[in-house]
Amino acid sequence: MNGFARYILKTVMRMKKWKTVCCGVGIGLCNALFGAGGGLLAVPYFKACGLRQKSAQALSLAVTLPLSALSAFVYLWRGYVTLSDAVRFVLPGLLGAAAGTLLLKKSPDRVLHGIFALLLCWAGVRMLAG
Amino acid sequence: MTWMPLISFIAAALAGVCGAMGFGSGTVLLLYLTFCLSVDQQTAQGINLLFFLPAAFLALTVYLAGRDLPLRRAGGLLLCALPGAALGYALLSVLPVALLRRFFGAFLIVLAIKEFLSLKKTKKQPTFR
Repeated sequence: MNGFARYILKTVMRMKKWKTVCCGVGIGLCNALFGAGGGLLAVPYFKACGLRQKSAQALSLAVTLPLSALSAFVYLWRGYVTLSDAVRFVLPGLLGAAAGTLLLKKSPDRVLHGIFALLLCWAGVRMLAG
Repeated sequence: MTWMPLISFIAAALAGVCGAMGFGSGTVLLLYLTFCLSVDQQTAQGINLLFFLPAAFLALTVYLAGRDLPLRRAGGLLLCALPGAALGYALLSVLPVALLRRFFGAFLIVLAIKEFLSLKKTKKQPTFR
């Protein structure tokens, strides 16, 4: 526990850049309010940190997975959703995820970047439409 | 009606692909749930969150095993995201979420334009990792 506390302290001390704070708070808000969209903010952030497209997309999962777990728990707890609502999507989702994992490894950065830009645009239009 | 299970399967699988690749499973799944099944927005968001967990866990395990990712950066970002999420939960039933969605949508389009503009630079850039 002491090590964990020290890690948190060190990380906070290192956060000189407001970009990290703003991005992080934005990602948390999106994940909580919209149930999606955190990853779409995390990828540009990681790229601004110097990661290539592929790594940024892979690493964005490390942020969105714990957040989504927390949000899912809150949504369940408040009764917005039940486990049985989601259970029938899990198996095809896992199959798709296996395919997606392979695809991300094989795809060139430029293609990923293009698809990411298109999907970002698409998500924006959908959100705007309400 | 006999087509519905197949369409549902395809939608969920596609969402899994998108989720695992870091594009966000919501881009596909939320659309399918709200438009095709007319699930209400909040339930759809909950389903999306629950759905994302196993898919992302699978993908992340593979990525972490396969390449050297700077997890420290993710840790810093996550640390900032937690207060944001807490604020979000507190305001979930108070805020006009529909209005916020529009603002966020506009912001995403700005981000998308930025991505399109930087597309030329992503040829064979010598970035680390």
